[in-house]
Amino acid sequence: MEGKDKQRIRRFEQVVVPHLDAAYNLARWILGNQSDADDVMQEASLRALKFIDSFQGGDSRAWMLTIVRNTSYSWLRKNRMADLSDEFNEAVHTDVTIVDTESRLVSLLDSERVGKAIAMLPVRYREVLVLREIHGLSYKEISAVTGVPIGTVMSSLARARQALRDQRA
Amino acid sequence: MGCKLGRNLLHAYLDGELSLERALDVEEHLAICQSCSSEESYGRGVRAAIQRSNLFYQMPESLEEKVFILAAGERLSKRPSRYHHWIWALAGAGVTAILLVIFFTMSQPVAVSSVQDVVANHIRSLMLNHLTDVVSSERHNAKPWFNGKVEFAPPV
Repeated sequence: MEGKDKQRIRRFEQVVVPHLDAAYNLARWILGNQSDADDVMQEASLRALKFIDSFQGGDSRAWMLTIVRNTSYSWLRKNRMADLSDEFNEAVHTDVTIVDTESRLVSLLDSERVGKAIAMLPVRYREVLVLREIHGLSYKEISAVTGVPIGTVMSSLARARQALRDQRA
Repeated sequence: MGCKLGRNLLHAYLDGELSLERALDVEEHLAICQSCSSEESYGRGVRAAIQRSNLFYQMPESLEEKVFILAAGERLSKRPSRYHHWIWALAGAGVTAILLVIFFTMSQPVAVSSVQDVVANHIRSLMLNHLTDVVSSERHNAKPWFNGKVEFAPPV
């Protein structure tokens, strides 16, 4: 019994711990602030430990990201349902867009501006963009983590990137 | 878009998701289609802007520690109460032993003042991007807590 516990913790170390930072980053982008991401990460980690034996090998990063992603969405459904809206308020983006009509960076090295623009995207577009651009996941991997078909991943990315550029003129 | 290429395919091209053959088709098309070409250019600009920005949120250390302690506590707390006392002692000794072994296999000279520090070090050592972390040696007054409490010869 005691050996099995050690084994579970060891598996947790091998499978989950290397991806805690990536998991936190995803939670942080989905939820929008550190405090909520903190809560979700703890819940997701417990869930990962609980179901660690169901991980039979394969992509451990995708496995952990899926758990955190689902835990984040459950949390939003329970606490901030409005944030799950897909409404794209195009007008809102005009003062935080990052690429102008000549596709030049509106302001170079302005991380904050870029971050703000991404944070304003509806959550389903934001998560796909974050998984692609920050985590470097392929369309197939994004589809596996989010449960969204590859075609939809593609169109969401196109839409998200379009929203991040200057809407004026 | 007014063009048969389609925006989605363009973005798949930008993300390197197309086969070589299809990618070449897209490039051929971009050479002759103004609207797709400028869409592609926008896409590149947006991607470049994102890549230049440091948008990766690092997990706070306090959360790292919470997660590990939660995990250890969660497993150890689900014990049948009949064996409550000696299982706890054994588990505690087991965890202590693991932590001590980990501690001794680390080559950094550190002054550790709590279980939490050792746990945090352990977590850090597992994480590639923390390999260069050095625990601060500000705690001059703290005795290494393992002194004189070792009951077995740690592997050297």
